[in-house]
Amino acid sequence: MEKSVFRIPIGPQHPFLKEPVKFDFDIRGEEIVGARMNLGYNHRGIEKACEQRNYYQCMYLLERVCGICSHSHTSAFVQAVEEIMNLEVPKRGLYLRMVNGELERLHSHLLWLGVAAHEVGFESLFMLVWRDRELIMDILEKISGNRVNYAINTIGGVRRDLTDAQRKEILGILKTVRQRLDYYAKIGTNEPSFVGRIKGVGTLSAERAAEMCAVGPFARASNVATDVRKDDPYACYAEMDFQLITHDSCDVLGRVIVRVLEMIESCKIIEQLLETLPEGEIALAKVSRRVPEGVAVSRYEAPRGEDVHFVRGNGTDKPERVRVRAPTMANLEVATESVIGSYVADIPIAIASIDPCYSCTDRMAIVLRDPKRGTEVTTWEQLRRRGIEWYSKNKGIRF
Amino acid sequence: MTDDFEARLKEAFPGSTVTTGSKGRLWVSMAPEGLIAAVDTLRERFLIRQLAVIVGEDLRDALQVNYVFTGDRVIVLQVRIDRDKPEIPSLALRIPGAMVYERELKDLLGIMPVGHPDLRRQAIPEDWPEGVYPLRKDVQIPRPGEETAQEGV
Amino acid sequence: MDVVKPLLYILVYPGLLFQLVFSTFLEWMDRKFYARMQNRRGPLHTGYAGLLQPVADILKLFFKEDIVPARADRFMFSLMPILGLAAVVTAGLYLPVWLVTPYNSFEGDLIVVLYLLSLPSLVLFLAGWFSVSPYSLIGATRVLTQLFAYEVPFFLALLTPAVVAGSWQIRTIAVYPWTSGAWWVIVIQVLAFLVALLTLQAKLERTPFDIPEAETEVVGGPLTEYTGKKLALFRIQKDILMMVGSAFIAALFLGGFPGGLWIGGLWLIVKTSFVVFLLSVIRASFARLRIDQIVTFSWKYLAPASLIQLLAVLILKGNGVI
Repeated sequence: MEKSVFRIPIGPQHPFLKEPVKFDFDIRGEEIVGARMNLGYNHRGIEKACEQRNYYQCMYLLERVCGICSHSHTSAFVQAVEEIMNLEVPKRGLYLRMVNGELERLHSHLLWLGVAAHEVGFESLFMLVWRDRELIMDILEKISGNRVNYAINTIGGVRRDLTDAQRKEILGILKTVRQRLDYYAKIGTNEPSFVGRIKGVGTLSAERAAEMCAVGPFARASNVATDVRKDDPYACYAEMDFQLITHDSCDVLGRVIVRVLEMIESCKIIEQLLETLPEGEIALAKVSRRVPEGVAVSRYEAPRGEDVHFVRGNGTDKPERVRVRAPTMANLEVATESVIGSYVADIPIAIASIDPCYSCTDRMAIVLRDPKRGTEVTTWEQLRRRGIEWYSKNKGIRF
Repeated sequence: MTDDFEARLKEAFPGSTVTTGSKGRLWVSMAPEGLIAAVDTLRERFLIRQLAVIVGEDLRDALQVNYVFTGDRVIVLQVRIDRDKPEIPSLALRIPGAMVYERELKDLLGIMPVGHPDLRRQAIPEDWPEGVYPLRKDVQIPRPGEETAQEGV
Repeated sequence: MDVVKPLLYILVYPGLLFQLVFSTFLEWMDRKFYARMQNRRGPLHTGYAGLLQPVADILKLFFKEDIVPARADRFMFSLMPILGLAAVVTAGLYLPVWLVTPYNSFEGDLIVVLYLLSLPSLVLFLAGWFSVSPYSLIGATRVLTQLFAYEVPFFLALLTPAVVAGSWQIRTIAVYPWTSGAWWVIVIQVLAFLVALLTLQAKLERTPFDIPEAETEVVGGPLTEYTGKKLALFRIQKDILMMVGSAFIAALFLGGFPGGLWIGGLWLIVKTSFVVFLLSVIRASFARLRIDQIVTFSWKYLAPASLIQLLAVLILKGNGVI
């Protein structure tokens, strides 16, 4: 390393991302000349764990792959299982699944917009966006009972129906949300200091995005028209009228615009779904617990990009292999690369612009108790007691 | 166009079996030697460029690597490899996006992508024992003590 | 009496005690304004409407563990918080409050105050420098870069009222609109007032000029390694700097604090609060600027604006209008 270049570590614990990933940036003055990424701080072994659980348990386990796009992972998984089992899911069930999916997209994109504003120090936008995200969270809580990890999917349909009153209420709330979204679209593209921070930052050309197999809003902002809902429609997306949003600015500004416009499209989709909600059952009455031999690849457009699940059944009630490909996995490498050449101040927003989610990307940790090496699991209570002892002994502080 | 596409695919990969799955997914089984050429054909002749994921599997009698390509159609290239010689040619130099998946393949299943530029550990911690691959079916994860305190789920 | 009065002056009003109380009040007000502009409630629970929250925050820091990094220069690391606090409190002593009997006012005290107000930035730089941590070092260099960007416009802006009043003495400048009868000079200095506000915001390192301590990049900037008492002293220093800076802007541009001890004190509170309110509005309505954007902005807009203002005032002065 040259002498004038010095390395700043970011992560695995850093205020810009409270998630376990480590970046090493080589900087010269304020300019970044090199970047490396290291993963694997918190691999949770969900894929292995799935092989030891039955399909219903897997569903709840996979829901916990990610806290934000939990519905996406279960949807992708049950789609794959339904494909292997050759099940025809009732239409109302699929519609409700889509309503949930689009609400999840709304709340995830709103969350991201807030985080992006926070990364560039625009706290006011952050606070306002998160206030409105609560509207969506309230809807989700009303229809599923939970703010995250909705547990609404089941193999062959969904678990909870929507009442007519709820349907009307959601449509009412969505009107407010759409007004607010228009306002954010205006701020996000016009406020000079905000635009000054995001324009031309973290650029990624369309060719490079395609080469690195980038997905989701990140790729769409680089003018790569990829959206599973259009390319390979699942559930009832083929019947919906919505636009595939792309932008050709290839920078963070483009990603903001794509996400905000996508939210407006999501609102449209939800409105269509709720207005034409078919009557009937929400799930198949009887589904076998054993899944025949077979293999399926299921694609799902999660808020952050394409989720790919690969499931192989072996005739028992436990899957033979489950592979989860979360969108962050596809985007992280290229996002790290896109930072090179910009300023230190751009790191947070450039990395955050893919809406990274490391819980989706890293999936294994086993805590072992080792009496020989003296390592052991410390409970919260033990830690607290140890702290109190230390302070009373060394500092004379009494609690 | 569907059947035409399938016929063209069959013609392009003479030495392999092509089966059509549900939703028009095409599954192509082939030998590891033909992989690089097949990927090139796929990308140039069929314009299917996006590598969605690489899935490694342990089929007990052999290992299998599935390359899921997405585009107009979803095409899965399946490569069966020997348990004794778990090596596949790396795609990382052709498709930079394959890098992360191949690293995971090496970490979790012990399948060595030959020619991969950067084989640091990705999914498993630094103090993980060499030669233990958690996603193999016959794996015995060496436990330092006797009891497992808590499974991180 | 000769001993009591200076002591009162230094320790009570407008010295240490008053500054501590008033600055925590201003911090509360700033937080409240800021929160309301973001549709939040702000501090609520400690004291009436959360009035004691800033005090509680600082007290909490005093009870926290005090860590000095192993590789840091122990003496300099510990000296910096005290030096910074001393500088701002001393600057506060020159506030033109006891107009009847100016205690330490002299011709040229404006220069002294400007000097004292520059010290905190230098102290911050040194604090970061002596902490020897990558984040502190980046923060420290940013503090210095930013200092070069805003300091010149700040000086030029504060020079304008001095030119108008034809004096280097803060007291004379403050009372000038009243003594000369030309109260409208306040209006013609509005450009300099705006520049002074923005550069004060930069001096205080608040959004949009908070890049030196941008927490999403460099954690705490120069203060990353500071904990406990030392961090608390920096917090107090920042609060007092906000109060003193706002009060000086109020004194120089908004007609000072006439009316003796009580009414003058009231004016001080009202006008300073008004300036702080403006600062909160600025803080709430912008995103954080990058360091290169700050430098460009300062030299492209702020410095020319203050020069134009100065020129306008000089022309008016030369023609005998003022």
